[in-house]
Amino acid sequence: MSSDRAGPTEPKETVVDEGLVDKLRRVLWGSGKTHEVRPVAAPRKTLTWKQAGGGDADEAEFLGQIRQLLERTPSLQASRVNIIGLKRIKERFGDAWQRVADRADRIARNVIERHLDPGDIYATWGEDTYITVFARLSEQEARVKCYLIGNEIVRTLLGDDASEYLEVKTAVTRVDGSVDLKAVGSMDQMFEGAEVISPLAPPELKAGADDAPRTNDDTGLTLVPIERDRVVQREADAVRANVLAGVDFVFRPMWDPTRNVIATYLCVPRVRLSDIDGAVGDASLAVAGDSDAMARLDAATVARVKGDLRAMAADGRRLIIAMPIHFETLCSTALRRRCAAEIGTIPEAMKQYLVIEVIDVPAGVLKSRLMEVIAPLRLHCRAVSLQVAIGTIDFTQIRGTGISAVGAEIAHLAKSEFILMQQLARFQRAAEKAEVVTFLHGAQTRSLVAAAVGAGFHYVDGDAVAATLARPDRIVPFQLADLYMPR
Amino acid sequence: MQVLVIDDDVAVRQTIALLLEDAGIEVIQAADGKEGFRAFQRARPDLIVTDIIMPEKEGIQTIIDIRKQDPKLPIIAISGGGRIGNTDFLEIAARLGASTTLPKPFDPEVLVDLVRKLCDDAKRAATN
Repeated sequence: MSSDRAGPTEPKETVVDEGLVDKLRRVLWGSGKTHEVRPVAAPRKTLTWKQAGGGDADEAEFLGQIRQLLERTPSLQASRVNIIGLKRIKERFGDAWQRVADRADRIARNVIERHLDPGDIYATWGEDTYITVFARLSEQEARVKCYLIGNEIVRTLLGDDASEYLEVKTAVTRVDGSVDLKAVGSMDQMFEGAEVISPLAPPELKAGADDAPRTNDDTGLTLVPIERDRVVQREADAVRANVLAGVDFVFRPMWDPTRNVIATYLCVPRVRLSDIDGAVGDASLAVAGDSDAMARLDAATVARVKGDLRAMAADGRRLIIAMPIHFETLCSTALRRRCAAEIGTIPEAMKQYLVIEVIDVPAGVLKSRLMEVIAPLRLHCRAVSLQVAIGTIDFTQIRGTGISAVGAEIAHLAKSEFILMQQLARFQRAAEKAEVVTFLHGAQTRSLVAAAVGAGFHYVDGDAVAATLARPDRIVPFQLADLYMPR
Repeated sequence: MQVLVIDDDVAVRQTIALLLEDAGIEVIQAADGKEGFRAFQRARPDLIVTDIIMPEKEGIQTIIDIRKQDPKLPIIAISGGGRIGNTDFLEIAARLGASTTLPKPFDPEVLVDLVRKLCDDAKRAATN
């Protein structure tokens, strides 16, 4: 799961990168300009800072400083420095930009941070420019990754019909040593050079007889000269094969402590980990950062839940199923329509038993965007809920959007119970102000369950409540005392 | 007389400790159920005052674990969680082993009186 979602979140732990970060900071902002160090989520080793005062950056100065950076860091190739600009988005918003600038910044940071690996860094320049340096990627990979990140930011802010507002540039060094920024405005430009490194490509592709492999000195990865479409297709196939071939579904019983009952089951897609016998992982984590795999996973989830609701209609069970769908999938107009159409085929009588849970919602997403994304789904279900980060402390954007519940997944968080319990209390207080129901997924200990119930959460699930099941079972009375019964 | 106070809220824990110490009662403190259970095993106090909602090991589980080792030890469960719908932490705590319960906030004198009474009752039961 990603870190920041829907609304401001609390400060995170500081993880400071060494070497390149300092150098980049010194070169870009060293001469008399103050800067702000901003920590981002562990476990990535990243560090960001922001030019004080904001405003439009002076491009000549900006380029000059990138040039200095490259001169002082011989190991850093120009084309590994990529820039994502929000200037066109800013222009599109016009005067309204001032109202949304902070939120747009949070969304951009959130998306970028989610895609960073240990050793990667990013920085902001002015209020609308983000610079990324990927430590372990080749030039081409860095460009592709930056393009995908930029695309995700634009889609999140404006939807998938807004690619014209995407502004991704890569730094290039001219013969005379000067630095320029080259726009990467399309998939064709992104793959310019026709030399593509594909860490996701299947082994047979890398070993192809026609594609004599060469080793990239910088990354140690194998370079495979191959035409773009083949690579794109093979990568998609590889992701699909790795991630979706082994997907299955389990259902987590969600306890309603105010009614002392389990009547809601959360559908959880899981993926088998091929390298560890019998091990399963959260499929949503496995597809993180890959829109295509995410959309396929969502389609598979809808199909599964649809089947379960039909089975319920046939055998008379009356339970509620919570179905997770990625926010990013719903940001795409085409995918959203397809998803809504698919859900629309659920028998009318069974729609009242479906709750759609929108997951991986970025921090600070605009209210209008939320409404746009959610409106087509509202017709086909009992309720729409949002799964956000447990650190979220403001749900004012949710009012009036038709969202009736907010919650968080905590099973994968590496935080102390003490911290989590404080966050649970704050989360609940914020939700109460917005008058929305709350749920907590993945409470693994009785302490966390008790803390969630004590804080006032309306639904709690996790291993400490009940084990997952192969299918939504039945309505089960469940009281606080049952939490302490031997299993 | 020695009382073990288990509460993750430092302010509450220390307030209770001061209150009991002022009444001439020796106090040992623990910040959560896990630490509290270890302190119980080490010190074998005369009485335990425990909060319910705590990290690591919450109060009800702590009471259950302590009861397995000492069925007669007086235990006072305190909680600000109170009643949530039909769910009452203190009621469950009483059902699963607490000698008595006290909802937060409580009158300091009530707590001191309760501690004294339960300790006296335990002593009398032991001598009979």
